[in-house]
Amino acid sequence: MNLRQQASAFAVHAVLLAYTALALAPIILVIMNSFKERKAIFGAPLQLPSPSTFSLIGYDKVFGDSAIASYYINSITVTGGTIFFTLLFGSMAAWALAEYKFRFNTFLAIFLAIGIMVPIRLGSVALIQLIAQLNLINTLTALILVYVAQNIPLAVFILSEFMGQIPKDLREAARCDGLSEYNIFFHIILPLLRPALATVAVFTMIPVWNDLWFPLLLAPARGKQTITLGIQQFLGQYITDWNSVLSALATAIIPVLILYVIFSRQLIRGLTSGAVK
Amino acid sequence: MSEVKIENLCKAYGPVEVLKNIDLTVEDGSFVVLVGPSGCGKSTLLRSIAGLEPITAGNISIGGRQVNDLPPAQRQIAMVFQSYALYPHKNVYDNMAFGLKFARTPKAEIDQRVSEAARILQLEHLLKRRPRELSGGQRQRVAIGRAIVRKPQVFLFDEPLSNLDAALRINTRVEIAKLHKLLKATIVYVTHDQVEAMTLADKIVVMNNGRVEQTGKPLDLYYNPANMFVAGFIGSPAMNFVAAKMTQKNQLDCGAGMKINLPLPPACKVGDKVTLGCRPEHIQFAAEGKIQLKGNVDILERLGEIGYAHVSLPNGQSIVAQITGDPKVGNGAPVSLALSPTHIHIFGEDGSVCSAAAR
Ligand SMILES: Nc1ncnc2c1ncn2[C@@H]1O[C@H](COP(=O)(O)OP(=O)(O)OP(=O)(O)O)[C@@H](O)[C@H]1O
Ligand SMILES: [Mg+2]
Repeated sequence: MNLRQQASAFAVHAVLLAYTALALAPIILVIMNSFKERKAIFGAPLQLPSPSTFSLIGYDKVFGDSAIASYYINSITVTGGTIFFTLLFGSMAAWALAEYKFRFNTFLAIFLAIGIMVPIRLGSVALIQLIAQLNLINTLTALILVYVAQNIPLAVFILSEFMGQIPKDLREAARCDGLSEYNIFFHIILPLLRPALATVAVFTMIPVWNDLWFPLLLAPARGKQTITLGIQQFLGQYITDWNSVLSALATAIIPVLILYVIFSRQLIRGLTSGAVK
Repeated sequence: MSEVKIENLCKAYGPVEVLKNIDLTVEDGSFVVLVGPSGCGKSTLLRSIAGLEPITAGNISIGGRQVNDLPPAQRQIAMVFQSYALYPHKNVYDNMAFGLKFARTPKAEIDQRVSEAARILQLEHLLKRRPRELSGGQRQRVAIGRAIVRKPQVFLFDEPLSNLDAALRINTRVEIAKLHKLLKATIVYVTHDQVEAMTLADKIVVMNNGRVEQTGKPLDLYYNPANMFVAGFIGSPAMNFVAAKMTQKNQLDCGAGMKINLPLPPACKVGDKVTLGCRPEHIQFAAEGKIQLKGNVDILERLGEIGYAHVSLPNGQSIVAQITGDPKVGNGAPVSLALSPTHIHIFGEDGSVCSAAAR
């Protein structure tokens, strides 16, 4: 490596490190302060917890609150359900659009592209009306339905790109082997699409887990609240229980982290290598 | 009984006609090779037989059963793709067993058929490997194995050897010939390779531009091509063509004072423009002989025992003659060429043959 290459490598790493620091700082701050006394949080927010300021009071309160468990379960249900249905229907739609020629093929593709461009929150009022008419207010189903609708366009877009990379000969070989179209999809296409599915799952998961808007609008009732909404109870108009808020936020990171680790292991490239020369 | 009969088959992609009125019979147990230049519709024809491509008009029957509207799986065919198209996430055993599993074949029978195929193709020690852990030749054998286990009536091969290197290609070619004998299978085989076509085929089908130009035994096509296209396509190096005009009975004028006397078929009339064809292997350096051409050597290509001389004629055309040994002539040297009278082909203005030289 000559000097210029070294300098440019250094510059690239410096930029990336700066970004990483920027992205991680708030998270580290939250985790750090969740282990401190209330006074220390305000007195010296940037200091690490020391023996004199260390306290688990926030975690005590959070785990002591019986409702917290239900927030977690709700959040996990909604996120899990959304991922599952987005991947299932998204990949099926992508397969149909990529593989079959039918009348409204182009129209549907454009329709989905519009879905990527227009933020779903613009339709919030209409969505509330619709969900109310369906009698789904204050259900997790409502949230899952809305999130799936929100995420499917991008999922279809990404997945059909990946599908284009699966060699045509493979599907035709499967057809000659006598597989039905459903079997081709589930036994050939889906396994080969695993890296793409993982990518889409990660993309889908994080905004859904973090969303406050739709839980607030569609399922604000006690018992149906997600973790982001549930935490709001610690944020009062006059006093805010910062210990609990920070502890709850810190623990809320864990499930996403686990899901992320699971999915990222699937992001192995070159899965199709060996299929064709 | 697994004869493939194709009648008047047409295939168009929108306004583009890719196959035009194809008629072809592949007899039970025979090995038919489709050859032709790139883009002439060989793959399309094969895929139409397989049922992967809907046909525009005509009839396809396999084993006496019309299959026009049947999906590939019900046509009792097996296709081997140029790219092998192995399932990358399955091991060799599962690649071969995959179709059978979905056909609800009993486990014991799947086992028996797969191990039989693995034995024939010498894949027994590789059954647990994934395709990416195999060499090109091994992948090719797995692809053939996947076809064998289905016990199809007809095997369809689309340029199966074109991804292999030269040495392996020769080996695998011999393997395929043996396999054909062993399985007594009906095979339709697409290739670019002359040698594959000549050595493997019971019958060669030469295609051009979506049409069948000629069908016949390899040597029939070699000795009696029906037109200039087939004459030029079969044989390597290609047949020489010399433009000529019939000036009087049994005499051709090739321009620049080159006159050739030879018996011409009655179909040729005085004043007709014709093309004279003769293969390099039927032209020699010799000062005597009934049919003589004179020219100057451009290049000598020596390949060992034989070689090829590129000779330019006085009329500006260039022809290739086969040489044996080392004729010791320099570049630019004047030479006399003797054309073997029994191997001369005369083509009319439309390119079809007027006289096929006797064998
Ligand atoms: N889906 C398609 N749409 C339009 N034209 C097509 C399509 N597939 C093939 N063709 C055309 O059909 C013609 C025949 O194609 P085909 O693949 O059968 O050629 P081939 O003889 O197999 O050539 P090669 O030797 O290069 O494999 C080509 O001119 C090609 O451009
Ligand atoms: Mg082809």
